[in-house]
Amino acid sequence: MDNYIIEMINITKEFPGILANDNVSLQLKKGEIHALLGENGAGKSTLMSILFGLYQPEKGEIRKNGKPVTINNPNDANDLGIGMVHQHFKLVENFTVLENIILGVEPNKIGFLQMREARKKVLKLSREYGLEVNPDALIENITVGMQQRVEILKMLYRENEILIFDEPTAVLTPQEIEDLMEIMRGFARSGKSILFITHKLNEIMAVADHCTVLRKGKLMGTVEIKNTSKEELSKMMVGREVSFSVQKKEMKPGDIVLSVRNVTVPSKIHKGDAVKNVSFDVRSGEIVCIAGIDGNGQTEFVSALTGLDKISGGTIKLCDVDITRSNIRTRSKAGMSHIPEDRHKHGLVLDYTLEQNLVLQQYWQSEFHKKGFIKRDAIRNYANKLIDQYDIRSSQGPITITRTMSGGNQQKAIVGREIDKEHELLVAVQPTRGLDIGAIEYIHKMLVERRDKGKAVLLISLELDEIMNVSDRILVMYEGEIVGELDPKSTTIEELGLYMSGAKRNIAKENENAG
Amino acid sequence: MQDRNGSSSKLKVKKLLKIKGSSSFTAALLAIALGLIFGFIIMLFASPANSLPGFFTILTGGLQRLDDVIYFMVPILMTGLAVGFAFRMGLFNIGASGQYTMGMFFALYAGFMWKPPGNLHWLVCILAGLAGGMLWGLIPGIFKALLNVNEVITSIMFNYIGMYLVDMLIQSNAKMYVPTTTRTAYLPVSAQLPALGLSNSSANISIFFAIAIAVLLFIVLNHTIFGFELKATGFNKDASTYAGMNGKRNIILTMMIAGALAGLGGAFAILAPSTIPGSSMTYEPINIIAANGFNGIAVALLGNSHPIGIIFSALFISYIQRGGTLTSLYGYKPEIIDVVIAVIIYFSAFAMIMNIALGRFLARRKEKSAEKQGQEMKDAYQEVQEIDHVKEEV
Repeated sequence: MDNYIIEMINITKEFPGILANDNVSLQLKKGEIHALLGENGAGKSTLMSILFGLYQPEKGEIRKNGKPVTINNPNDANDLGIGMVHQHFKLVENFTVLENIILGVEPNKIGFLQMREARKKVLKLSREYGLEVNPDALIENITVGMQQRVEILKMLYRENEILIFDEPTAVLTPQEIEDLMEIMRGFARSGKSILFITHKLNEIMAVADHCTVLRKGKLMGTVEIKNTSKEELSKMMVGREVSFSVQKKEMKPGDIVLSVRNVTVPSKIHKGDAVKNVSFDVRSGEIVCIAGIDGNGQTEFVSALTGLDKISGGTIKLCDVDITRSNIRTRSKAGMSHIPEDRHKHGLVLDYTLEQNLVLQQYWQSEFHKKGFIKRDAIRNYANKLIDQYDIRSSQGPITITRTMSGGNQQKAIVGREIDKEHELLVAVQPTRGLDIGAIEYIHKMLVERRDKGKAVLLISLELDEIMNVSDRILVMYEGEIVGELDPKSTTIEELGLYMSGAKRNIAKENENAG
Repeated sequence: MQDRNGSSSKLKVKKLLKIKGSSSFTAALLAIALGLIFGFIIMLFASPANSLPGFFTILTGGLQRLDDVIYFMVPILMTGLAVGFAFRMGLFNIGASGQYTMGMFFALYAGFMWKPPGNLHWLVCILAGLAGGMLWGLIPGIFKALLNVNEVITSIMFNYIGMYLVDMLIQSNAKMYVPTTTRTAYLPVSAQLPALGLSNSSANISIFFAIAIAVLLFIVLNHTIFGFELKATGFNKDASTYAGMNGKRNIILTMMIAGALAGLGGAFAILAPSTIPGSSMTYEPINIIAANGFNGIAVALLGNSHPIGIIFSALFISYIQRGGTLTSLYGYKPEIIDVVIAVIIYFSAFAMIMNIALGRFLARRKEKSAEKQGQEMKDAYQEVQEIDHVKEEV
């Protein structure tokens, strides 16, 4: 008999109108890393929520060490040693790291907290598994990667032995992902069992022992990573061949569309500058990518470029018009489209309907109003056109409240809106963040199509694959400076990594002023 | 999705729950019902013997005083609009009292000090009131837009500044103030609003203005570019900035409009004829913040900040207040009605949650009476899911 620590046998979970899990089985061995792969909506999260006690299955059985168990709520799961790191962390922002870890299981003597004891245990755990944290830092002051470590320490503190990670790398930088992988391997070595929900194939290939693939609620199979390939996994997941390399024609760069000269942006966090003396051009018909590890000034640069924030020095020209001090609307009229980094914060009014969001950048154009009164029919027709053209799916079409739509379709709506608007330059900031493979493929195709139509595209990305495959030219940003210009055809991911980590530079500081 | 060949009543409930407007409407009704029940319980404790007739008076007393219901409805309708309109932009205009007081003062000033030719003296007074309120909304608006000073703080301070300023100005004006009665003098008839024709009544034509303004605001919010920007800003300020909307201008404009609405409320209240022929409403400058400003917050909440909803919530609150004052006939303090209204407001804050509870209850009942059990279960479950969804949105 195999020593499975957790078995989920023939689980069926039905939501109205949809079979979220259809007769799905999953067996987790002690001490292994088991990946759960599937596109958005394939039923991964539902299956894990059942294991964590958030949902009850209609059919099926859960066994621990061969014995059937019932898990009615997360407390039951915790008693069985099952812990979960959720995609959106559940931490108290203005508590310290230590306080968050012991939250709910505070060691006490007749009601008095025994913080010293707790601290000792946390520090021991953090040393044992290489999870460096500062126990006295406030959650609101530490990075997302650090917050994730706190979540992991929470599970360890509760002595959980089955650890569920729900899309843990979606919010991390490449370096932090590497660290996390190493931490997960450490857990496996020490006998803990890991369930790892993801749709990123590279990570599975790097770290997992087995992989269970779900598609549309059905089990596609469980494979051993040793005997499989990325291509095979993606075929199981999507149901068709997926091209990892983006199909591109030769680029035909034309005139300079965007010209950035010596741009400096003050930091909001510290006293110095977040962006220092940055200069570059983007021509029509090319995709220029600003690569870099998160937090090296990309966000601040984009805010300054698109007009959300002011710059303290330098000039920005769009199609030969100086827009350095222009407001956002003027930049938009001058030909700038912007797919923002945070689609919920900036990109959409979530409580508006889809059609209202589709005209968010154009509602003021004479096409959509008459002397200040909205032309509803015109908006409806335009929205329907975009919905057809960009395949934006929703439950009620143009009148769907945007909040109820899936992330992928929300992003398609933004992409459709920004592409359909008159523009010469498309600024796309992490346009595929959090999306599944199908949607990523689609958005990459759209970016390339823009370029082939003679538009200039400025892509800001953290994903190495995206940077290498989509762009025609790579600019690496490190600590607010452009430290390298690379050609994706003649460079390697390793080399790109060296530039991103600041170990290498091919643009000297002195030369920048000359350009 | 699955087919929906359920009974027609089920479809009706489903539709009712789906339409956003109606769900906040049923929620308001539920809040009112619970508020009344709670009020009745308090009356029961206060004086068991008189509780039934007293409660009946609250419910029906307004019917005997319909003209008063109309007169008192207008100011709270206007301040309700002032709060609700700003709220749609994400601004909490707690300064309706100050704006109301300023509007009232400007209207009084125009009434006593100006003698415009023709028959439109009262219209000039109304416009003066509008300007006074607008000024008192504009200042916090400018502070908010240009210096990012929280509008709650500035507008509370402006309540006090406005109130003391007005009391001071009135007391030092011999033409406006009568020291022996410690109130303002009667306004000249030309400055008074035309009555509705009911004898010995304060009800006047301002009710038509007020309702027309509410309808106008509804059109502005739902059919204009300005309304589109205003609601977008209220829902998501960052996204409206990203879309190039001029946030600063819109904040100032919204606060100006809100102030003007409250100012009109003050003008409508003070320019009314009183029940004694020839005399008018008077104001007593005794350093008290105008309660109608705060009642406006209640009206806006109960009306879900929707201009048309606010018409009905103002009508309801005015109606029940009139009934409440009559409970003194049974030995109750008139404050009892303030307690009831407070409870209604309290419950209307929970309104959405209660609506969900109601939906669940209906779903469960249907489940029980189901013939085709399986299909029914599915539908009921779906409804609960939909309601859950609403909950998430809230």
